[in-house]
Amino acid sequence: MVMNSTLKLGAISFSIFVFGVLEISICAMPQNEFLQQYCIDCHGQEKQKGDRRFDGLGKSDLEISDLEAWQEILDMLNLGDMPPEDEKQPTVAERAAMIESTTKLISTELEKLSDSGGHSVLRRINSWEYQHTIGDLLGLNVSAWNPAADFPKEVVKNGFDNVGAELVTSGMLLEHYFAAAEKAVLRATQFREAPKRDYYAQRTPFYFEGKVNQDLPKLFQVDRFRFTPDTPYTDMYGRHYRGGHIGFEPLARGGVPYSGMYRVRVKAAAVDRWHPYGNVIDDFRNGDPLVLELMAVDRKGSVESTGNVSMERSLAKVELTSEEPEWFEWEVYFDEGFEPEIRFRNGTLATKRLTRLLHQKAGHHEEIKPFVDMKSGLEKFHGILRGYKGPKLRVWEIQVEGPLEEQWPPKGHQLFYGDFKPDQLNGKNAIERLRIFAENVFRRPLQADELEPIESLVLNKIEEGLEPIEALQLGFQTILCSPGFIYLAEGDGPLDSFALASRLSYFLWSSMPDKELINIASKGSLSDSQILRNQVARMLADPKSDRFVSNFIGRWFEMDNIGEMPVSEDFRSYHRDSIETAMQGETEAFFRHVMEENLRPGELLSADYSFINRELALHYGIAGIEGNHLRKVAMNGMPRGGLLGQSLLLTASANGVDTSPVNRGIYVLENLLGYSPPPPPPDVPAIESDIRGAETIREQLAKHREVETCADCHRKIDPLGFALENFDPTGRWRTHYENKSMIDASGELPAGERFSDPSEFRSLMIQREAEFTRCLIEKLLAYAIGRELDLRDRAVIDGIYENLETERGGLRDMIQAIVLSDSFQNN
Amino acid sequence: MKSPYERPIDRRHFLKGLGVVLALPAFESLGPSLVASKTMTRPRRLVYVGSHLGFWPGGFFPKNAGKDFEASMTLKQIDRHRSDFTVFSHLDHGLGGGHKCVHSFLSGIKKEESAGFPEKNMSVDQAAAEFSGSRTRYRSITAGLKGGTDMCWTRSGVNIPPVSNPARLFEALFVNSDKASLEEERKRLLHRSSVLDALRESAKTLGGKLNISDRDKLDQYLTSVREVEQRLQMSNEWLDRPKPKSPINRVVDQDRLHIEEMPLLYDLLVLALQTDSTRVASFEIPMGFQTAELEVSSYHGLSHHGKEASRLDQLQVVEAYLMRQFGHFMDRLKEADLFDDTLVTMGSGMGNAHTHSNKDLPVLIAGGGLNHKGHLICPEDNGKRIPLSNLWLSSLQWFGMDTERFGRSTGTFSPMNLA
Repeated sequence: MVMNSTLKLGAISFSIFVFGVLEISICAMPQNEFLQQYCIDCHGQEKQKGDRRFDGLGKSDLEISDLEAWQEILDMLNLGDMPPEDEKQPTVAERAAMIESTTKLISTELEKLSDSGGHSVLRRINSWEYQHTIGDLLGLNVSAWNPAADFPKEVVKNGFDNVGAELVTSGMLLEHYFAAAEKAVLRATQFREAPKRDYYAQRTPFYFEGKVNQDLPKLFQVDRFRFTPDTPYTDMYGRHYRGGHIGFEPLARGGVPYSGMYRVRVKAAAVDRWHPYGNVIDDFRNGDPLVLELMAVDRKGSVESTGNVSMERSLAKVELTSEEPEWFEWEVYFDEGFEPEIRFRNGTLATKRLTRLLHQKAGHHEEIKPFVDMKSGLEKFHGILRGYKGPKLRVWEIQVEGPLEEQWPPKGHQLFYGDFKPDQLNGKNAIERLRIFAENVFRRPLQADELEPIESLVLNKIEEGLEPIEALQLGFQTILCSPGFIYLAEGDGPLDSFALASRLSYFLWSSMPDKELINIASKGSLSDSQILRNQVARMLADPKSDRFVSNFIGRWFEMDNIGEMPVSEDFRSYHRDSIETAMQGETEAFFRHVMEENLRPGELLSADYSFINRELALHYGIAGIEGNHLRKVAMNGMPRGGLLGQSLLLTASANGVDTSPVNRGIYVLENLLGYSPPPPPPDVPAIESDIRGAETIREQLAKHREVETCADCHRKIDPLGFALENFDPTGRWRTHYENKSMIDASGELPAGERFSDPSEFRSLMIQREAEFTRCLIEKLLAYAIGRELDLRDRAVIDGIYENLETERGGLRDMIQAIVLSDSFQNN
Repeated sequence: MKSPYERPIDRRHFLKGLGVVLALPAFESLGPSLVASKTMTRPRRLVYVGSHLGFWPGGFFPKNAGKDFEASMTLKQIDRHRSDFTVFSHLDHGLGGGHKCVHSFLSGIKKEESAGFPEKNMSVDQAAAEFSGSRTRYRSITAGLKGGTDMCWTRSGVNIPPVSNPARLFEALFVNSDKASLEEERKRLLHRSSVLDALRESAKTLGGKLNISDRDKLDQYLTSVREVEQRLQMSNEWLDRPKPKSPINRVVDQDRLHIEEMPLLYDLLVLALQTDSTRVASFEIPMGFQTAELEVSSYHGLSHHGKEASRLDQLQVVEAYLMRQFGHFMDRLKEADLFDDTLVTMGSGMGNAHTHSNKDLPVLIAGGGLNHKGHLICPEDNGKRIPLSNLWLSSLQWFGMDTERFGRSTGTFSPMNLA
């Protein structure tokens, strides 16, 4: 809509870069003069046709109602409905200029009306940052327990969800803070004795009959799709829990007793990967490795149906190809109360469906024949499964050991209580602990008296008779809800060294600074550019920088789109093969590679390789890649390689059902070339796709472009989208649409360069390296400083770009330059 | 996350699911303590039902106007209620943006423009909820199938996600905490007010060093503290009052298909209104509504039907199902003698999902003891169109609010008298 404010930056300052087409705003006539000439006669002091009066709109302090009037004027101009036909008409150029300047006026004025006047706002840490800060502060595993899981969704502005001016604090959020703080304190407090390492094992059978283990969930009980085998192993047949999941009896009554790392070992094999049933058993790809998935599940003691997993988390996946048993081993984290479960991830849909299909459609096979006419019952189904010659994940034994050696008491507990036991606490040492905690939480030294209100709270509670330990915990919770924690106070002008440390740390780690960074900050050495550079290098080398890579990639490529419009279930292999996880991994690994090798940013477009696993390789039609892990694969001669051939971008730019050249085109313009086309005028009828075959999308869009108001933008947008039409909504290659018509991916860029297919288009895009690099600088800078860029940042961006060009610098240089820039160092 | 492929598709289970629909007891059997006595003024209630993908216009809007309108394919499903609802043509918010605009259905304001409005993009149900206040245990209940459609927004522009697990909703309505957790909750509330005081004081110690925009942010924080305080008072008020006794068996936690959840959630909403646990409710139908059990392709996929007959037929199956469920909801409200005091709105922020148009939204209102008009065609021409927010304003006034403006409203809803 009107407030697309990259528009402001894009249209004014950067449009000249877009395909080299020079676009200077031709504001020949000021708005007021235009109004005077073409509007006021009917909508002024004398006449107010349609009850509309515009003569007061020229003033400087516009209110929302004035802006609404401006918006209406804009709409009318866009539609060509006003001035009426029988009145004096503006020229096409005048109309265009008026539309452009009015759009800008509205956008600017609306911004003035919104929260932020200047740069400086208390930036609240967002849910993602909150999650990781709590994790780092208290040493809690926050991928297993995300304290921010239920927080209200953050506002996204131009793709970013860390824009200080936009981050709302509400009563609802504060209530969530209370609940999360209470849980966090509870989880980190460990007055128990250090846990002893325990060892658990279970051999087949994994399913039971009769009175044995009757207290366990159905998952452990024999039924039509689970039987007690007379072999030293148990087979899994389907993807669904009945006959496709195996639980672990030794931990099935309440899960592991302590949170921590556990070693899990599974002895298993993949049997009958080539089966004789053709396409009877649905979507299993003959010959595929069998995927074993290790899960942590919490049943909360339930014995209903599936054992009612109330929470589950995937811990590991492994591809099995050997018919001989092998041991597989992982070290994985379990939250207290969770138990292991193993699953046949790519088994055919459900064992139940499998047996039905077998006796309905494969009855002529010898092993199935005896059961076809048998009465439904255990004997029939067990018989079919015992004889079944299709893929089976075969399991002999499961072992679990842990918790493995770890700091005890855990980090958070130490930070809370030091060596104090609950009965040693009193008002005096409670205050000491409170201060130590607050200093960590606030990411800076305490200011005089600022903790006084919370100290009094704790002392008063003790005086009222609350146990000191409880009062202290209440104090910790309060600190975790206080403004000193949830806001980054960055002040006005140059950042002080602690604010700088925090900004840096939230940029590269999505979390609070560590001890080293705080130490450097307290020495005041962060102003030294070499020290700062070294810190950036150190932080990027730390695994915590994965948060930066994955979050930035997610924001940059608008991953939210996929969440909001999930890929339709009609794309079966996409879901079966966990393409979503793999494609995120691909782009992240690729970005990380370019960053670690400090390659030129243009590499992100031009690389002739990518990082894929077997399933993604099959998705891309590449043979010979085995295994679930991502690895670097050469892709020369293919339409892949570089961001433009990656599924993440291709899926996020579609809508989960089909592709639209317009949407893809805008997506590429905004995210790779840094130009936001203005929004379409209202009431231009959207393209109504008609797949009955009369007219191709290309013909329909061509008509669209004949309309004068549309042509100018769509000339820039559409070719970029058409160039990618060979990629379906999940990034698979296609040559034809669903209705069998051939895809034509040729086109012409506004500057006149022609391309005939995605590869030629890719070459043209590689030549746009300059626009791409600037776009990436802007995205990174906006992400790093947590605010929208404006014209004041223009010089900084220019400077970073020019330096990078002169030095032939790489992606890591770019990140360092951003940290050293004025925009980063000042508020 | 569970992959959708792990979901069992089991015909027998499905058929059983259809039988699950609750038999609601008659009004009287609930006993006098649970419902406002008939001699008192009967409270008014508002319900908003919204779906993300709306309805295919060709199957939704009747061709002719008036009470004797010829029922469209979709509206045929609720033809037995034809004298009890009004369906409108040509109402919308004048906004665009396809999927990214649907969230403005109940507010008329898109999230990204909300900063310019004093009440942000507050939705009509939340305006009503504020007015309703602590008269009921819950100011409002937002329910819906998982994912929802982001249509409920607070005054501070925060989205309220729908409760999608029927078991949770049942607990909220009928299950009293045990003594120990009640005690714990009481303790928590007791401490919370001193915690809030401490937080307010802490915020003030920062105040002096901040510039104007920072102070705005700090004000927002202090406002949040006040909001929590107000809710705290409400919680205190309600903590000791036992919840009503449930007239149905406990709804347990279990995997359910969407076609099982939808009737169950609708029924729970009726019970919520019947027991006066709330007077404002909403129900959200997401774009991810699972359609496999209806034996058709994916819902979102079908909404992009490309005008192909077989796909349109399948889409009609889904839309007929959704409308039939809504019809059952109206049946239940009537059975519970709530219908005439409950103004129910059904519609979508999506006008035509195929073209991603947010123009000419499907909207109907039902019940509320109104003199319904059948199919009411509003002005179509530019400059004469009536903002949907005017209807929202009138529904708030019907609810008893003394207000002259809601969002972008230009006045009360002129084509129909809601008073």
